[in-house]
Amino acid sequence: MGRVILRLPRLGETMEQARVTDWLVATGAGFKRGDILLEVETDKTVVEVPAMTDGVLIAQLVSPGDMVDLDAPIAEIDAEGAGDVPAAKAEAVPIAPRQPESVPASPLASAEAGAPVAASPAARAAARRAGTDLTLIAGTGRRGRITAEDVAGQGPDADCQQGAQIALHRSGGAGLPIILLHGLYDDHRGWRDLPRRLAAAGHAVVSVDLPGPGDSVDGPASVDAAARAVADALTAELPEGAMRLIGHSLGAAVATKVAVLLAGRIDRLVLSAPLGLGARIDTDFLQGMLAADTTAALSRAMSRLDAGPLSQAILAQELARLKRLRPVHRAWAEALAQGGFQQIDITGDLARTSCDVRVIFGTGDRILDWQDIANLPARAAVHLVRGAGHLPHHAEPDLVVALATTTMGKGRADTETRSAP
Amino acid sequence: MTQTTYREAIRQALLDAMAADPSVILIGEEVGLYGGAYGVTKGLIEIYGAERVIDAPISEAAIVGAAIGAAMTGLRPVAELMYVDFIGMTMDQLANQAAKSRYMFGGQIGVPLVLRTQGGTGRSAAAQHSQSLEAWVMHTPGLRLVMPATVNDAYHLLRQALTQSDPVVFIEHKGLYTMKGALDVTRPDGDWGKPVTRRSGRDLVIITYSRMLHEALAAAERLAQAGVEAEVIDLRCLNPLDDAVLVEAVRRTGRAMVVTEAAVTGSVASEISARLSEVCFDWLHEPILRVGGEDIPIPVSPALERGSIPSEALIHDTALWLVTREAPEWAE
Amino acid sequence: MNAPIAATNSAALGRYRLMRRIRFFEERVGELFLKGESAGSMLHLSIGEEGVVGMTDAMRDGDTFTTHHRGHGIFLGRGADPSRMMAEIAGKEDGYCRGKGGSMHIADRTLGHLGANAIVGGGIPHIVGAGLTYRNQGSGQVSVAFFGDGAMSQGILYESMNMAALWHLPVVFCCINNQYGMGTRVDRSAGNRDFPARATAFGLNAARADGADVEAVHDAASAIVSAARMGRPGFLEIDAYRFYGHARMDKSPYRTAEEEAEGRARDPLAIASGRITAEGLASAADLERIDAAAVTEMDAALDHAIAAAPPGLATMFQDVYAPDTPPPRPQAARLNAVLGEGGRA
Repeated sequence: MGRVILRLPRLGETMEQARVTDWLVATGAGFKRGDILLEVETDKTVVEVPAMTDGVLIAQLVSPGDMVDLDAPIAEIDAEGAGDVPAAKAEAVPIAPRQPESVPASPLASAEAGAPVAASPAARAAARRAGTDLTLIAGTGRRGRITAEDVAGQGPDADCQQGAQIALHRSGGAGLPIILLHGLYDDHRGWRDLPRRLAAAGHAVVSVDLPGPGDSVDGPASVDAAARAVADALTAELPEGAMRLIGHSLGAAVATKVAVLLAGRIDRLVLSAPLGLGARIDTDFLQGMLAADTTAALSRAMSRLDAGPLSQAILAQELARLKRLRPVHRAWAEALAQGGFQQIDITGDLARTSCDVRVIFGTGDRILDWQDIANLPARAAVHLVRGAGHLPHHAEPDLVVALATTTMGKGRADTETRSAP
Repeated sequence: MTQTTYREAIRQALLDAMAADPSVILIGEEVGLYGGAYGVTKGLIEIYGAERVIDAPISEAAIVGAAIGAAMTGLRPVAELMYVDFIGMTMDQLANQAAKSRYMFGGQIGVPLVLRTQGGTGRSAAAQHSQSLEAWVMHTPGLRLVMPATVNDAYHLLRQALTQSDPVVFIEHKGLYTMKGALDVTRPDGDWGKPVTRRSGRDLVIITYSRMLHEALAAAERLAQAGVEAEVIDLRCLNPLDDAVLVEAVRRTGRAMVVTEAAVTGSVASEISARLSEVCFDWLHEPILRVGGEDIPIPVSPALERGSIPSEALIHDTALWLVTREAPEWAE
Repeated sequence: MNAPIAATNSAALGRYRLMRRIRFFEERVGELFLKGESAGSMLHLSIGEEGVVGMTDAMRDGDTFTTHHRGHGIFLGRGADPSRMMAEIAGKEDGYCRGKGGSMHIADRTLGHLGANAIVGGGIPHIVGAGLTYRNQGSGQVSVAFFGDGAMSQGILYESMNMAALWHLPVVFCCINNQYGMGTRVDRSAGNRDFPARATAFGLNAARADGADVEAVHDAASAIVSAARMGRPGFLEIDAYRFYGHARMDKSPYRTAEEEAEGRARDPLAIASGRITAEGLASAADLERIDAAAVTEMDAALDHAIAAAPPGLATMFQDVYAPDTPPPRPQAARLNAVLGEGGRA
């Protein structure tokens, strides 16, 4: 432990001072890394100042209502570990036995403190081309380094292949291509390690960014238009041969319509918590995601996905991305749902396709109702994951890999049984 | 196209070159009656006689010095240094005389000699007979440097070396002499000074040369089973070195490792990685890695010897770590 | 065979004239340095060692040679153009090596000069290779390595002498013993100063000659070179005295004024001129005319070297490798490819 003075960090590009709105940690209280120490209000918004280390608050040096200049002392803390410097700028008090290092604990912290940002050269080049501010991005790379992919997630990226308005991220080998279509508020990175696992199984993997989010140029918020754009892009990228589609939620609806458009070339649809099977959809989630202005608010909205806890860094990264894409997301949200009712129906499309259809749903899904599977065509194989939320493919990754990669006969046999909730 | 050994391909190149050009002579320790310490020049003295296949006393400096004088006055000598480890004995002749004559004398006097030697580990020959000293040569302007990894290159690079107007150091690998492969005397693997892509891949580039090529190719095969496609590029010639192929591949994949058997500090891998870092900077997702021999003398114990240089396993694990962030067991 | 002889056909007179030209040339080199016009300060003058002309005069057209760093006189003895030599020493474009080599790395292929060398003993083994060429080709040429007494302590000499004897090569090892390896007198570097005996031990045809007497050197050299041409390699020690310091005309604190006076008293030029006038080969007036012509020639060489143009910077990258092969990449091009805004490498 070492006693350090926290100073008000730069929390926005133009910020020179901020008003303290509330202390969330009392004097003498302990706190964990990631806990919010206090909230301050800048000319634009209310911002939380998180701790980047465990410690004990020794003294609050500012009070609610105070206007505090950038870099002014705000608190004295006893911090865990000399090297772990809180996000708020820290410096040793004269009595401190050890000088805290100025090494930032994370790219976010470093960005806010004006310290060097860890980013790969390719990421820097991509950011330069796109005019993206690296300090707004949290890195997902080695040791928190910002990767070119992180930057690509922030806007159009010339490096990825765009057919029409669709960005395709290709990986894997020369085997049967598997196409991944993400859901609303998500992008191609939301699949976690699924692309790598499919590639390891020998497949070519194409992870799509739907119009708007990700790398793809903004397009009309229409499932039909998106499906046409994706079909065009896939035709350009993969001119011949069969392929498989995996879609999640909105992406499942798009995948189904792509299967209609590319009839004969799609040999299987794997739909995870598909949108468009029934009537209801959770408005709280849709609106909560659009309204979240703080990581705490975002955390609350995202909790409805039941995706498990998210680190402060990830939340901050997601918040930055969502804020940037807000108009796009709002348009999509309006196109998908009105007054809590879905505006998309894919049951007719599913009836028209002849390909293998495999559906995975979580019985704990709070966004869509798993019982909408009743509207699936009879030939569809259904896998229910007990208690899982709206991201069942994250709850049962092995199952999704198996559903996507098994051969036709074997796969069908495997999926004959339906597991009841 | 025939199947033959690396050793036999070099011998064939010498045989053919001597038949084609009467000015080609061989000079070195045991190159005549003994047939070369590794048997490369076996039988050549019977064909071309003692005037052209010259058994020299154990005088490495004067062997190279004599080759220089012969080259200056119209012969095309192939001097053999039994082990590259003995290059220290010849370094003045090689680095101060052969390398600099053309330049110092304003272009008047070239030294078209080939210094054939062999290096590397694999025979438990210990610290003074197992080294990889190509960096010493590469650091000297005026010397061309070739290190063939394949049977076909062993033949063609030597034939091409014997058409050069400048001194060429031709370093064979003692661990490759018995390796079999295809030899097509009508078709080189590539042009002089140009690296050759031995395997295509999308995820990273492994740049290497000499025996490490085979370790890298084996590693790449196993990486493919894990879904990681490694491109493997064989440098072949270290001077001249047209790096266009390397630059293209590194920019395409954004990930690269350079593998050398030599002690890694100040090595060829250091130079190549620095060069590529400069010109591929904006394309890099990760630092360019050097994977090389430990910075120690080569120990005699076979276990220690093997452990001191990169293996297929080390290349595989490191590549996987680089691409997937999957740390190998030996990490930390 | 060298520069035309002024007054008579006398070979002795020709050798005198050569020695006089060497003496004046070396003095002008000293002046070049004092004027601040020489390229660098590594200038090793051979004043006092002009008796080497007895050896160079025993060689034929087509014979080749290498020299050590104190080789101006040897090269002039083999027919060098003093203007181009002086220009090279000044680092100028029209010097023998286009300003790349300078005093210690001068060469001219057409005159058989395979290169002066700044590594003690560095050029010696090259004559072994040249000897292999002449032996294999049956060309009748001889190759001669010139070096100082310092090289008698270098291992490469003995490797080379052994090979020459072993393979019966048409080569001669010529040691110009000026008594000093830099500041170390030969009796402080050699346990046994009988250098010809070392060569004899290797099986060479060896002799020693008084370097102050150019005719004695010529007699000994002629026998050695003729035998070498027949395949019996030789060794000749030319016993001389280095009139000045190691480099240029610096002070020599390691030796006494008395020793220097004694050494300089055995001046090869004085001995040669005395013999020529005594034998009636030429008059004192004739010799004065020769001397005056040499002064004019060397003054012109000095003026030329100072006036000549330096090489262009771009020539720096030429001749590292043969023409039409990949040249070195200039650093500026590399840096521009990395840091330049204009495009990619």
